Amino acid sequence: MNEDRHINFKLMRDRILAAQADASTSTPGRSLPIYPEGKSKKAYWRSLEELVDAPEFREFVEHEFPQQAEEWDNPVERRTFLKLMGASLALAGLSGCVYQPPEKIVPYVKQPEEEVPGRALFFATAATVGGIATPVLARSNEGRPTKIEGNPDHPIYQSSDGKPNTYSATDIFAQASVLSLYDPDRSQTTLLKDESRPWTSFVGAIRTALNGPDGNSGLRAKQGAGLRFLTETVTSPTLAAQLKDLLTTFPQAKWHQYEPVNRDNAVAGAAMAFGQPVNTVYDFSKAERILSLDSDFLAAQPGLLRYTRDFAARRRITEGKQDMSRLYVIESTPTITGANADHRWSVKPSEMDGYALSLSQKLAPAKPGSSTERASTLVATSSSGEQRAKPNIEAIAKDLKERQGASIIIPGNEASPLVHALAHAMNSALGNVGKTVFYTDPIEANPANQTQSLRELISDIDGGKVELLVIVGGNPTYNTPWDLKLDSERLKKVALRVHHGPYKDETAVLCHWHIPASHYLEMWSDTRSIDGTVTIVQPLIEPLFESKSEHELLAVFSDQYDKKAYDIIRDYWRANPPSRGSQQSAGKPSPSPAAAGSNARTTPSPTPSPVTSPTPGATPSPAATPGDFDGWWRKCLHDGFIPNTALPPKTVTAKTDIVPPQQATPPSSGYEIVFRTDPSIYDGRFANNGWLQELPKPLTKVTWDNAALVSPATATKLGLNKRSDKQSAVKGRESYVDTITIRHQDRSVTGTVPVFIMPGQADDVITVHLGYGRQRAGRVGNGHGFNAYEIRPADSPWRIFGAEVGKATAQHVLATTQLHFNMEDYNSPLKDDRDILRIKTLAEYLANKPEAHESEEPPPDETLYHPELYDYKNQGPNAPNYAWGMAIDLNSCVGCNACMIACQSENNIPVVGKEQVERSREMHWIRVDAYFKGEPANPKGPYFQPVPCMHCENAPCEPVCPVHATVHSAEGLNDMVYNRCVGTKYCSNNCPYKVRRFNFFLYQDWDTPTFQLMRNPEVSVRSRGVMEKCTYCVQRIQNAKIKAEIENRTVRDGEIVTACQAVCPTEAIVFGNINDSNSKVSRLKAERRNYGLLTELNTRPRTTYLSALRNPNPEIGE
Amino acid sequence: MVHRPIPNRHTDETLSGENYQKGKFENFSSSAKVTDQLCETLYLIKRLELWAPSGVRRVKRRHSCACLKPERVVSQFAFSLRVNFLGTNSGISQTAAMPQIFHHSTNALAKATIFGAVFVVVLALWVFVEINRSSWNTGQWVEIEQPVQFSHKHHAGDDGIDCRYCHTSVESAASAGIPSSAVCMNCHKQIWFDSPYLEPVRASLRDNKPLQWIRVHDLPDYAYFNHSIHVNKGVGCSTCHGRIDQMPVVYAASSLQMEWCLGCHRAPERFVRQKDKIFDMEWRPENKSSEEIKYGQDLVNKYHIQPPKVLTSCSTCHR
Repeated sequence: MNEDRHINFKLMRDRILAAQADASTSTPGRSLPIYPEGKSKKAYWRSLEELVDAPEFREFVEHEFPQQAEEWDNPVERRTFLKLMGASLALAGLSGCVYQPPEKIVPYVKQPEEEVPGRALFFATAATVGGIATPVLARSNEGRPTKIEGNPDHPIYQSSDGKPNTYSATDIFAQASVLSLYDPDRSQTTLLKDESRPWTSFVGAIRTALNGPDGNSGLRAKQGAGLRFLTETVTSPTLAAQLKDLLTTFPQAKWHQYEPVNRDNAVAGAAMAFGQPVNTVYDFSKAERILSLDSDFLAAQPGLLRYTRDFAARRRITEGKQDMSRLYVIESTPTITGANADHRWSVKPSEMDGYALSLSQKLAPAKPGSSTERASTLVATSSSGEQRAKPNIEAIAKDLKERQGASIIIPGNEASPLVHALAHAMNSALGNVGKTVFYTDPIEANPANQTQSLRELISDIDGGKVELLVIVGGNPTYNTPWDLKLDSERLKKVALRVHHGPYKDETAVLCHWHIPASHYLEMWSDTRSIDGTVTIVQPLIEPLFESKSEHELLAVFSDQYDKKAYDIIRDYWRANPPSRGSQQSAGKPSPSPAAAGSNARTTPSPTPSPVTSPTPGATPSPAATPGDFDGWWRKCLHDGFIPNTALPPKTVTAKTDIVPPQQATPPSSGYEIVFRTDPSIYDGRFANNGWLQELPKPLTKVTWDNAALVSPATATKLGLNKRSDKQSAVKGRESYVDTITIRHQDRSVTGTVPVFIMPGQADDVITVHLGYGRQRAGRVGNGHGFNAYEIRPADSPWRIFGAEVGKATAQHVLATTQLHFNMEDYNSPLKDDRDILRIKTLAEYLANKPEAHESEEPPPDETLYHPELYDYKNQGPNAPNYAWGMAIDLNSCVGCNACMIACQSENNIPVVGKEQVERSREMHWIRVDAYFKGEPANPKGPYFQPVPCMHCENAPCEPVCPVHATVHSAEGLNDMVYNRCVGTKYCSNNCPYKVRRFNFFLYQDWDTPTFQLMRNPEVSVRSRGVMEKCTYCVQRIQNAKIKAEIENRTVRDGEIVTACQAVCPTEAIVFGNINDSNSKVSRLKAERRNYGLLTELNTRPRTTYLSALRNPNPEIGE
Repeated sequence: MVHRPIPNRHTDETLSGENYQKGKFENFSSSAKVTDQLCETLYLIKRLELWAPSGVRRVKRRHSCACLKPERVVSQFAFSLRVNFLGTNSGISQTAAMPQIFHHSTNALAKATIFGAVFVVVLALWVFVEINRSSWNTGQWVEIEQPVQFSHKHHAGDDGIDCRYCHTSVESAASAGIPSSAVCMNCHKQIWFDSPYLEPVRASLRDNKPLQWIRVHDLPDYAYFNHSIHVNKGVGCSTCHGRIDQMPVVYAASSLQMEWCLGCHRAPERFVRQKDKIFDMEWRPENKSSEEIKYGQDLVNKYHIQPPKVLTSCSTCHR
């Protein structure tokens, strides 16, 4: 009988699944249209599935966790499973009665002066990616770095009006770097041929190689011939000085630089325009018209934080300030910058030069002749008959000309040298140089062409000239171009190979010696920010493993081979203090907190606190007393930067006659491939970081994978939009996608290349992202995605033409969160779409055109209870009457995802893994939804909408909880009490915003010791079976309230900064007390653009949104 | 359970409540027959899994019963069973076909059992609650031996050293702070520097290895307590920690259970004192009389202690 039941259960399940499959895909293998013929009824859509109303999408909407049935499909029978569950319940219940071992309290032997257990300290340091520093304040809880905030004192964030700065943004890489620090997969000891060795034996081996066994043969005797250093981009003055010293000691030795993401094109473009390399810095706060030529300056360009902030500030609309800049983007693949543009055009990479040329002829007319023809030929290569709109060069040129001196033309690092040169010429012709565009000397210590540098190294290796190769950072075996691959064949020709890196990666296993590299939070160094300001890297913790910094590694080659990194850095700056002559920003007010003598801070200083109140001028500028080096140095450490080291602006004259290089006309047949860094894991260096891997990529929302982006028309052409779908239906509606093969010059991608149909992609252009397909990244990063470096050539690293692309047989599961947590309701009696996103043009806003849905605002709360039953304005005697609320300005949000990582770091949110993401079980407390508008071939947007918990006053989650685990606080917070939660998930089911997350399994890693150090001690670590959600960072609220009450005052506006708010580069998220009508959040909520999400449900959300505005050129139209 | 006189169970009064009539009932000469039929009925009902009209009709016909409602049928069944079993062995009524099995005194036993069951359940609950609140579970009153035989009675009581000399951050941070080994030796390098009791402290400084004290006040990890706000709002040390100055070996004077926390959060006026009495060990731990409550209420207003509504919100302590 039991058997029967099992069979019956299975039969029933199969029948249900089959019925669903029939209903969804009536004929297997039929081709679903990628977009509906005729007009779509949806105004905004998050995915193509939503646009065509595909069954997958319906399933995701109707079932919150759509693949529950799949759970039973495992070797453990349901009955056995229940038995096991019963047993484990009993055992768990019993183990709950076990007497807990007594806890220990371990005080210091000698307590450091500033250290108070339980109170966090902040230290200024810098996270460096690609040589460019992001100045940060790292939070230290009892000596453990746990969270990264931005450093508001840093000169690159100082506004010209000298107001005290509260900007504390960072990018996703800096936020996620905490996880990398505690990564248990980091290499832990010095290795010689995979065997552990002490550091001293490495020092001995190098000394022997340098001096020879008898002390005067070896490399030193040969003046270092055969000694090669390969570094990544070096901006550190100290490291550069060390390398220069080495090259003086060993005149025959050579220093090569290579990083897969480099500025070669920019350097070459500057050479075309000026005859010398320059570093270009833009001032978006003064730019009224911006044209981006393939530049993703909001997400993937050095200096993005400053740029993003100024860009958003210039576009912020209040009742008082009613003008905004206009952004045109011409790009070869959709980017965040394009998503935020007022006008965006996708062009083929081969057409980009042509458009730049024809634009430059309108703006900076050169000698007529060759370049005109060239432009026309380049533009003419675009195939006809596409639905894609062409850039309206005339209108752009006219608009830019009208704003002479207040416009910016910004080329992307990936754009060709010609585009860079033309952009320089156009900026010069428009009079922008010196107003919105500034030139300085390059911030790199050696701004050489890195591809050329690598080529020289490879030819030396091939020529057998290299005896000792020291790879300082980087992973060249993995990320060099295929035609200059530093592979095992080549490396074997080098007699002694040393690799210095954080992981035992693809390069490390091919080297004799592997030296673990220190994380930036464990080492001393210096680096430069985008304006050249020297930023100090200061350790917060002793190295967790036996790792060394690059300074210590290079010291081994010098006479002082055991010199400590701190002494190296300090001695360099003692010997080379910044000269007063190069002070560009001497007039800027000193933001120095007067806490000299201590390099710790007690607050991240968004608010002036008595301890570290900024008192400009109170401390004499230490630079004025050069005799007091120690004081000056301590202040530099405290502030995190060395003042007056920004590179001075430089006057360069752009040539007016830029002759386009005669390059071969791109083949008209075949596909064009665009290479880009991955938005989450960059060039692959962050592949083992779970936070970044699980972060949905801004436009595609794909996690744990890279995908080839193709346009809908190309997908149709390649036959990629078939859903062959018996399989995917029964498998539980995972996102099965087709795969392709990519072939170029007899090279092809070996891994599976899944396809993502990207609305807004140019036809016949395929975008692939670098950084995936790692074999030796670590447990997290191995085996995800495909390796695009396999087809990346050295001479054209960002685009290739004439690739052969075909459909492959395999199918691949992409864990994309695009369909997850949709807020539509198909059972609603209202037939319209829900009013989720509001976007207007500036003209409509100024004309005071009412919102389409404005009439649907609900009337005041209709309730049987007395309306004054609970009054947030009168909470009782002595109550300060706070009512917490949040406003999110969609006009400012650029969709960079930084809030998601910041929240994950602050609130101990676990990583769940790809399979769980497929089942819609990602745990992010705040998600960023991306909505497209219009036709898939030519969509607007996507527009971004961050969705945290709304903290509804009439929260639908609360009445359905059987155990009162989610209740309202007196101040209007929707509290989640983990220790009460029994995991019914009713609350999540009843939440219309889909912001509650459930721990289906024990996602937290309780056992790995390093992760125990990482967690924020102020937030409970949740276990299995518990619901969780955004708390408005209640730990920060409580700490600020306690601080205020001890000081007998109320919490000041802006004193409480949630993690998402602190990290937001555009200051789009504002949190505060809505009972205080003067608070920033109240003023935002009083704006005309303010609206609540799904207010027709009478949830009365505390989080509200300000509608997005776009400022299209009336000549071009929307 | 209603007691019915067993010998008269076949009289009208016994049956009247159930719509039976004497004569009709006596048609059933054998109680076994009744039982059989009722069982059959119920079996049918159960077998068909629905209250099929045919089944009910059968009941109606056989019993000539006016009731159609299923629950009545069930109550009839229960009644008949009682007739059947209790009547069988009584030996009193020879005319009745049902002998009574159990002795009369069994009723008392049954009653005792029922009340006993309630009592046992309540007792079990009470025991559970008491165990939960007991010092076996909470650790309250349990003196804990520490690696150093440090006496608060001696230092805080006899010597009169201020609490804040060692617990430095009690007024400014969440944690009151446990003194570092160096703090002990501030004094003890002058006095008792060679005492054998101090050997662990000297060893700690010598080897640069911290002392490992056993935690006496162990809150659950999901509760976040902050010393500074309590001390600054008029909650004295002894309110929670008891007479530390009289404890040679420290024990927890409070249970640290949530009901204990809420006792004060619901009525802070019962426990607050003037700020200059915070470290006064001899101050009364609780305001009891009406004047004392008035004193507490004045302090609540003076120190702007938030209303219970705010203080008892979950997120005040849980994050």
